[in-house]
Amino acid sequence: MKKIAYWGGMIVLGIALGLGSARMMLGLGQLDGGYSVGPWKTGTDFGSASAGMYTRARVALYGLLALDKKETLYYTAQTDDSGAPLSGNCTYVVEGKDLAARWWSVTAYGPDSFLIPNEANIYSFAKTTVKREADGHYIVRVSAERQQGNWLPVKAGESFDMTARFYNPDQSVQAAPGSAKLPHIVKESCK
Amino acid sequence: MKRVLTFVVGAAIVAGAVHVAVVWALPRVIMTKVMSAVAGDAKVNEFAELPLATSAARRVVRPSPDLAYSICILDLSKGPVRVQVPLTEPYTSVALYSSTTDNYFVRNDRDAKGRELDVVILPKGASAPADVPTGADVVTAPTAKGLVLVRRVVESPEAFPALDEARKRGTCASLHG
Repeated sequence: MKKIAYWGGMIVLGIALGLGSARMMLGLGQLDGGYSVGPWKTGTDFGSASAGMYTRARVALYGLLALDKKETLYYTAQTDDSGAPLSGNCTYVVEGKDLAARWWSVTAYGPDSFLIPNEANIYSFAKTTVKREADGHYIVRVSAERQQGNWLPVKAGESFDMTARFYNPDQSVQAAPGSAKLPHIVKESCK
Repeated sequence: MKRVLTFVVGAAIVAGAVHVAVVWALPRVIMTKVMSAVAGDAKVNEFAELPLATSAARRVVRPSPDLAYSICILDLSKGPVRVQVPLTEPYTSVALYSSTTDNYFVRNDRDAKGRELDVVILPKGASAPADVPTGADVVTAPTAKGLVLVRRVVESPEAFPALDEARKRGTCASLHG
């Protein structure tokens, strides 16, 4: 009886530690390939055959069927410029210029990594859909409540994140992903 | 004392094995699940055109709502497959994925020699057949199962109908019929 408890306990503890450590290593917070621009983080080995065991598992969980960096660079922000986690209870001003790519978009995702349901069926803003100021730059409000001008809807009571996609990024960005210019994310108000 | 040490070391070995097994198996299991989910409404070695992603699209995480995807589940066990993809503005790409999630090939409209992307996919170990069409890219797949994903940027909702017509002309089929 004592023997069973001894060996059983060892195996149960081992399984628990194994699962726990795997879970820890594969957390979304670990999705950080090493480059960041303000709150925007990117990795460059997504989808490539050189990806290690952990990257491959993280990509399967959070970015399955991604493309390599020559084709697309993905930057994800989970916080605003001040480092505070993005919350659907707040309104954010996202302001920037064209991203250095052939085409680009910025999409909001819920905590489950799927698009966020909303009455307007708007999930992103992009090079060819965003309304611009006179000098070409854009101002987008990210909020659970309808906004004047560019509006990217999110859900009240839930966290969210945003992914910026660079399709065929410019050579300079490919060479130094940390040097890309990405929009600022500034909290305007919260409920 | 020895019993305690054995317990700790034993638990650590089990933990290590479970850890590696989970991390290793995860992408394979997820990819298999995704392929069978998509295959629900697609035949093997044939393109299926997916509708634009909305919040109702919950098969693959983090879909892009600005892309029109076409997907072809690959099975190379019976020989090479040829993919022919008409191009649309402002961006079209053909990406091949193995059953372990690796992206082993990608070309976009800028790389295309003509008005379409033309790719012949060979099973691992096979040599290129003599009748490979001129101008086609030839690539060897690391796994027999996998998928082809075509991405087209949809510039605006108004651009979608014409683009949808174009993508339906794409083909994914066994090279030798």
